Amino acid sequence: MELAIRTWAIFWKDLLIELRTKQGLNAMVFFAALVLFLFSFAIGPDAALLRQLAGGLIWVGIAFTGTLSLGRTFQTEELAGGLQYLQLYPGEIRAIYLGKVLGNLTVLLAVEAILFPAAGVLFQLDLWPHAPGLIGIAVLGSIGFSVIGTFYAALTVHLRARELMLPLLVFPALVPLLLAAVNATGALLLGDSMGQMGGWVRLLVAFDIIFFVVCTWIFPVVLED
Amino acid sequence: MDFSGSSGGLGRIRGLGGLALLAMVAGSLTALWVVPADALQGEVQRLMYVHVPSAWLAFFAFFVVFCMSVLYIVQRKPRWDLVAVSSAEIGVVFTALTLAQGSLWGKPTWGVWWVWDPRLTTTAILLMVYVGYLMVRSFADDPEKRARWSAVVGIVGFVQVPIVYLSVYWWRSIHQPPSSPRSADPRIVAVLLFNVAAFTLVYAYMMARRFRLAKTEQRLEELGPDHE
Amino acid sequence: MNSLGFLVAGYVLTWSVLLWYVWRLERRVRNAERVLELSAKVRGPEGPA
Repeated sequence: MELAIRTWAIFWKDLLIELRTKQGLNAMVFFAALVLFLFSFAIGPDAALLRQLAGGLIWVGIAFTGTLSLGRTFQTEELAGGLQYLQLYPGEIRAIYLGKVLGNLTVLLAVEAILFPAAGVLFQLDLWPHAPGLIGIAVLGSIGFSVIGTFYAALTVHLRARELMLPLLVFPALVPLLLAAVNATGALLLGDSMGQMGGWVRLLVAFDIIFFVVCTWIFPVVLED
Repeated sequence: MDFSGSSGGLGRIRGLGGLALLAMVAGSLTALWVVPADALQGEVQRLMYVHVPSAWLAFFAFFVVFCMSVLYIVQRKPRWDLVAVSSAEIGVVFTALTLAQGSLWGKPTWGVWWVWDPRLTTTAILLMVYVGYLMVRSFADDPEKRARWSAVVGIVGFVQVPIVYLSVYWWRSIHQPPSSPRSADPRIVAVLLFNVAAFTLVYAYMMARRFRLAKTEQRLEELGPDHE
Repeated sequence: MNSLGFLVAGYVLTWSVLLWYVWRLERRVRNAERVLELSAKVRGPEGPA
């Protein structure tokens, strides 16, 4: 119970900071839209092709945007000279991890709430009838992303060249998540002729559970002394 | 096993190296001349006898990295960290080799340098995880932090690999049936297993030497920055 | 046979890479041990710091 309270405290503090300026959030949304535009230009004006690739483009856009914002996960603590302060914080160190995961997850979901409709417009997709399924996939995928990303963000916070190391560690880890999210989204939007959706959703859930357990369990080792 | 480099220890390691070399020569000769050629793919299929062992060692080496990482986190003995980095470096060599062999096999067989085969794709991802492991080490200066963080990467990275394989297998099996049928000819299995053993001996020899290097470098690091 | 070239290339590559890495390892071990030996001589009479 104490863990939950501390987790929420850290999450709420970060959320308030984020909401006060909203700069980070705005930048992320614009960046995500830019990525979608770049993809569209790279692929060309073939509407049918774009519609077919939409699932993949959206999720790669989310991956890029999310990874860029992961670097800021511990920024407030660092700027205040406070990373050590966090570690001296009495009580369960895992609360730091869980609170940060919640924070990243919330921000990511907020960005996706704008990104998905934007993609619907750009790629000429009618998303509304699939909204419940899309929201479900988005939540599951974002959970996995936040779990992995926050973990590696903490690990690389003291490394040299961490802006490079964070994507380098996160992207291979995201491969199963991306495969599952992209294919589930595609099956939802383009018709699930081979009934694969169930399998992909189960993979998403398994991914989330496995890495949530592993990363939470091993997190204290990362932030030692 | 004593890797300290005393004359007895070094002699044993040299013996291991000699044995590995002999086994490799015998393995390659039998693969190229004793075993019958594949009916469908022709002579190029003989690449299997170096490709499969390389892949096996690539994954086994990472399993060793995983075990050593767990041991280090639990016991915090630097020795485990040194074994881990040794296996990681050797593992990168075998992984890269596996991918190159796969390309050389794929081009004449399927006409392309790369196929999204689940095993090959997972091997490529494994290479990226290895590289991540080694780069974390290169960007961390304090030996204790370096050992600890890379151990964490080694553990979480190892968990990733089977999940990657499952997801890619699922992804590919939707679009095409799984890979080629395996022959039941006992000669083929025997030569393949012999080559796997030969490659394992090579791995063991490389580990002995790489571990010795790691220990020496650790001593140099302890002595101070002007000694490196 | 066209595929024979790839077969030969594969085996040559495998042997070359493995022998190269073993040779490199020997070089690195020798160099590191030489540095260690030299630094021991330099520090010699003073003993450990």
